[in-house]
Amino acid sequence: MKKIRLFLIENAVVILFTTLIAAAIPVSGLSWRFLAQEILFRLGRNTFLVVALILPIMAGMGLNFGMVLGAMAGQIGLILVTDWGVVGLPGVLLAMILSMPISAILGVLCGSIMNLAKGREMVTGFILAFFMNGLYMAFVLYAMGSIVPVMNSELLLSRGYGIRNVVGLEGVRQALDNLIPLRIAGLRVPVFNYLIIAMGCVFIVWLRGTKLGQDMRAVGQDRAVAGASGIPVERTRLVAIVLSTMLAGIGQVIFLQNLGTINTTSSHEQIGMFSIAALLIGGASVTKASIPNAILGVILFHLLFLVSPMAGKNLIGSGILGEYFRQFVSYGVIALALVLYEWKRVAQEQEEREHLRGVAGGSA
Amino acid sequence: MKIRSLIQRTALFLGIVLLSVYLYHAGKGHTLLIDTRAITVDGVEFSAPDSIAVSVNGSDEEFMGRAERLMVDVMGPRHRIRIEDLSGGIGIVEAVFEIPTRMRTAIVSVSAILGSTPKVLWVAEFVPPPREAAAAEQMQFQEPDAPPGATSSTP
Repeated sequence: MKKIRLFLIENAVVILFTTLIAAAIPVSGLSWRFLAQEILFRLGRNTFLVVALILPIMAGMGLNFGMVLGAMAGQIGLILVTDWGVVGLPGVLLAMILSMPISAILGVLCGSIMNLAKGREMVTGFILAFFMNGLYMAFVLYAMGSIVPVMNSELLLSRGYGIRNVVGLEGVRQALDNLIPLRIAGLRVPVFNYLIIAMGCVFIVWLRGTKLGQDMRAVGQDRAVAGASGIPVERTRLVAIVLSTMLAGIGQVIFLQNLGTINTTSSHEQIGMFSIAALLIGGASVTKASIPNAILGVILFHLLFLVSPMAGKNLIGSGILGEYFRQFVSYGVIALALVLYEWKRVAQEQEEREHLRGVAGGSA
Repeated sequence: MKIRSLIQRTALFLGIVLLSVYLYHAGKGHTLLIDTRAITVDGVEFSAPDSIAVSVNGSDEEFMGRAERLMVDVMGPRHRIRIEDLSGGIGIVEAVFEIPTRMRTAIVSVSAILGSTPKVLWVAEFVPPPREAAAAEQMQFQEPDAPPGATSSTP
């Protein structure tokens, strides 16, 4: 009985959302073929971003809200590539390469600040993303076209500097998705995206086995013990954030090449929240996350995204309520995961105290 | 930092820079204007056949007449063009040409290719004609009290 209770507590979020989706799919009236095609695409588009969140959790830094910084770097890479007129697969790869140094610098900044705010990394990352958003806006809306040369006048605002609100990525649109055309039972499968995601997953699995990966896990379990045993705690945490930010930059390039358009001022804003929500729906927590959590989370989160507007329309007669519902869910699941984490932590501490009392009582 | 580590990092950095340069060169997009107008080289006029079918890099064939332009978007510097003379005079001609990376829009002369002129004459940079101010822009510079059609001397 205790085992079942423990299982239910551990997987409360996954069970809740699976039940919700299972109930909403028939109500939505959407066909299985449509849902399967959408999930195949969305899995290829979003999973890399979610996988990018695993390393900071491994290093005990919680959910990296600072991944938005990497997304900004990815967008700058794509804007530059569009300006230079580099198209197709080379354009996407070049955008990824260009995003890397920018996201590495932003990652160092983010990691350094998080090292100053140990134990409060999530809220720090969240606020830092807002702060960096201001700098990003200043760069994109003022520096580009005035300080940073932009050759393609179609990208610029009518005043002569600053990037337009919407940048079309016609040159690189679905360059990865269509690279290896494969159809299974009439469904298009973005094979190359899956290969890149697989490479990201292999990188994380490989990193876990290295000295650096072991250090990250040790730091994640107990900073004080890790520091006492000679592990450079702050450097390890910094590396985890830098890698996560760089992976987020690459993930944002994959995400946007699929959409085929950048909303210069807002494409990066929601990505942190949605990726974190997806990871949490997949069964991850603030202290524990794995690749299966990321994949399951993307499937469940996007199924909910797909079915909730139609389910809302069919149930209540208003699709917009379903839309509000899915917005509510993405924020709500983060709150729920944080509450569950805190509740479990308090319960564990209480259990430990009772255990110690019992031991002390027994010995007296 | 150890020398070996420094060398490894420098090599990695240089490798990434070289890869970026290669990707830029190989992925640079160009707009080709396939042009069937006649050209004159050293006093000799070369003209395209009345009717041709053109295909660039194995794309679907497009039909063109004389003095026409066809727009094709391509990637990278090296391209293969296949020209079929539908009037039956020349038959099929296949040629490979290169576009300089800096050139965004290039005019590819079918007449020069079919006339077996030197390769430098096949491709020329497209220079857009000077842009005339749109009606709305002309109105912008109009004096408030000026009669319709009169424009300010200083924009």
